[in-house]
Amino acid sequence: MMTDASLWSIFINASLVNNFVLAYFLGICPFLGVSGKMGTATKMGGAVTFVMLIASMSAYGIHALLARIDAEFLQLISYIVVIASTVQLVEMFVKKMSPALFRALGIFLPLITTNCAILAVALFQTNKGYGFLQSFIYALGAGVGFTLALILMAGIRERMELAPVPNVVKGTALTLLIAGILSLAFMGFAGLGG
Amino acid sequence: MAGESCLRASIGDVPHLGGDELRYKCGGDGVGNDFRAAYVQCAGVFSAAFYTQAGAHSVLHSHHCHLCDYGGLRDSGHQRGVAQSLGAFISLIVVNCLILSRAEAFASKNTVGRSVLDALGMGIGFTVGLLSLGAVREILGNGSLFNLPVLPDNFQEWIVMILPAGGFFTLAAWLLVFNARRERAKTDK
Repeated sequence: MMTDASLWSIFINASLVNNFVLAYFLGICPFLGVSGKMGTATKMGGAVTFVMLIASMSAYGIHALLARIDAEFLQLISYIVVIASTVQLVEMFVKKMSPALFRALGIFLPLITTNCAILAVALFQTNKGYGFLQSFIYALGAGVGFTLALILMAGIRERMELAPVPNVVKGTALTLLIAGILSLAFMGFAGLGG
Repeated sequence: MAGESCLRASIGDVPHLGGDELRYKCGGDGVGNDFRAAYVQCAGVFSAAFYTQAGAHSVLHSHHCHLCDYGGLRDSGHQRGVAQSLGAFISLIVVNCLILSRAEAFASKNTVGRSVLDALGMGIGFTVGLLSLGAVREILGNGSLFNLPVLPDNFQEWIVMILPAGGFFTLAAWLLVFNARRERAKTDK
């Protein structure tokens, strides 16, 4: 089945209205782990968006192929393999091009493999029956939304470092409270995508 | 024992394990789903323990999710509702950090028996964590527990608890409880 959702509404829906982090709880690991500094957060967002785009395009091809040979039960395994190998590629690239960034991202770089946001993009687009271009825009929107959430969070957390916060709230609890408020704020986008 | 350590890890150490719990709350429609999610999850941890023992890692583990997905949940009539209410989150158990981390940290270094016990403990701990979030959200957000009304009729539901934001707030609240206890223990010394 094909859907006739317009590209613009797919983009707005994936990035703002149904933000992957703030509305679906996907990709919480890097959202909480790498959002301490603005610079790292931006680059992490870039890396995830890149992997999402590759994974989404490959997932479209794989799904078409599997549907043709009637082997859709292989879907999950093949998506995982594609995502893992793309992450491997990104890891080698980052290690070579920017060792500093490689150290800054640390364990969270290989963990992009198990970032549920990426597998979710691949699965959701298949479930929704998106075409190639629609899938691409969907992945782009999801990546932009993820990066946006990460950047907003990093900005707030950088400010919070200097704020007088009670000891009880310090750390992850504060981060989660901020995430909750951000999530509420994103509710304001409801209805925007049409 | 393992269960308890998992609860502490999943509530105390959100970046590593806790994030997963939140996910199942998307629908926000109650503790019943938590149980089902936890059941599927237990099955996942369980078979991951076996598979790891056999020397196969994530590929077989993702294959297992498949069994859940197609063989188990989608085809059996009375559980079709489960598959619908959990939606794509069943498939996403493939990328659950808890399963992979236990396979890597425990099951690959221990015997089958010990791995199964560890998996069981982890599964129970995960269930407790999931329930502690789901119960708070369902009681405050819907005035019910396991779809049974527990609060008086004139109770005004906190809609925010059913929204995604409620998941973040509830987990933050649990963390605050744990932090407060730690602080108090520190000042008592």
